[in-house]
Amino acid sequence: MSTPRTHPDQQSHELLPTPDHDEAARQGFVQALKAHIATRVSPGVREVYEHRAAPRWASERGGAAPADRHEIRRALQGDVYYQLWSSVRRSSQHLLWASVADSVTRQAGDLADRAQAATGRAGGSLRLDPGLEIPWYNAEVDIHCMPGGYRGEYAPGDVAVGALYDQGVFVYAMGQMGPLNDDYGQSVVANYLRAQHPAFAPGRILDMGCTVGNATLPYVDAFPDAEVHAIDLGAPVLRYAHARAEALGRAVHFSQQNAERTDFPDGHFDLIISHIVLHEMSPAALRRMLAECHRLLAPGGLMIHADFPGYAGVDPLTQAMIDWDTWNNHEPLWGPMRSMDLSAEAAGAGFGAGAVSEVIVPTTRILQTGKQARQGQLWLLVGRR
Amino acid sequence: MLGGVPTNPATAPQAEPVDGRTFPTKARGARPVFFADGGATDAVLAIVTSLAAEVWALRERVTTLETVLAQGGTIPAGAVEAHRPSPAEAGHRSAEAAAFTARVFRVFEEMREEALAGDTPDGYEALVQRAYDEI
Repeated sequence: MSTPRTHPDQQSHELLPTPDHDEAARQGFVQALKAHIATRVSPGVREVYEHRAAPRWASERGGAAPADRHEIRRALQGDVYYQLWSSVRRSSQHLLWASVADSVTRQAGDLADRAQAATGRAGGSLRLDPGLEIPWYNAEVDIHCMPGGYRGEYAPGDVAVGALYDQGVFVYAMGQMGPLNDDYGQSVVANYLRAQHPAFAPGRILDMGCTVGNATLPYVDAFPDAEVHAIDLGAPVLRYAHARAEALGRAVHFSQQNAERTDFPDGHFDLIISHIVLHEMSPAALRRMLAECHRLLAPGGLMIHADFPGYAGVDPLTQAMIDWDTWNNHEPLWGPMRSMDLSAEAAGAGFGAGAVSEVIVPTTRILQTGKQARQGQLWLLVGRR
Repeated sequence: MLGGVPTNPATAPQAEPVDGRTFPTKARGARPVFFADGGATDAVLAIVTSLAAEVWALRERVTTLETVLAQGGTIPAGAVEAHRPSPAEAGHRSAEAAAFTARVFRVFEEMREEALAGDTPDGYEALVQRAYDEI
């Protein structure tokens, strides 16, 4: 094979699994199917709700309309359009992971060898803890239907679920997370830190829930003098992250730890970040993680968690549409997280109300040929020590 | 240290494949049931969705073959695997995939039109009955 096969606008690297012709076609089909559902099928759920499900609900209850997103969900559950949409949407999620998993498992041995070969190049490190207790919210359900989750290991030195995540996220996001799936990190750096804190120069940085380190690497580039650490619960994603960072020439110190309680000393970091991690933690775990951030930050340090905004102020039907993933797409913590007042939680975790803010920043993603030019938005929970 | 790390931390069970497989096919946690038939319709839809992906893969393979044939006049060994779509070609394929998907999932649009029009099977049967009544 002359050049590695990639998706349009995707940057190849040594650890990225390479789909063959039909695997790439199936992954392309999943993208087309997801786009079709989003643009041509999902709008029908709102129509069916207004024209059929809500009137039916009201007629059975003396004229009372569904009161909140939970009643809207129940009103829709009996409608065949909603059932078909839900079923095909769920199937598309399974197909997404299957289309990538088949490609990854075909190359699993080779990927493990490549991971081994990439170590020691950039000066980063990997510290695993085989005895780490996996918390219930991560152990019981493999988030977003990814087989194996972040921790499934099926061979010694396995990196398969890391490769599955790296390629799967690119397919899932249809490339909108950038050529290296690093747009969230790039956005926080360029559109928040550079814009709002231009003189900020952290000496030590910690990325919590880093998965394959895709959002971690922009911080290495932005702060070349900083010592960059990254933690996650899963050993195989960390093995992959370490090898990926080394292959891409970025020094990151990865360790297998729970963000609720790490082994770093008090005041060890100047910048703590996370990217789309809050909605994968339970509310109690989130509170402990925010308190841990407060413990770990040095005076003058910043905590920035990039995720999606809460349900407050969003109309109930939109809430119900968003909440579909909570109940039906293995995102059980999505709705609970969005129901919390995270500013209040951060304030209560030690930051104090005056040192916490919620910020919306545009994403930086650069779209090239064949894609709709569109900027997204990222919600940031910011705490200053 | 990559190769020497013990696998399968004993702290919590992970998703496991069935015998003869090296990787699980599904995520840990139950799959939802959307139709009140024990999951039969959901399974049929999963099969149809997978089948659609297979049909698409076939179509794309044919497209690749046609492109390669047009370019070279013959098909040398490995020509399909070696072919890399140009950006323009990739864009064309995305558009084709969108049109293909719209054809396969046409039923959703039919149902949307039906919902907006207020058409129901009962209404249709009433129309037939009305015709019979005119006999």
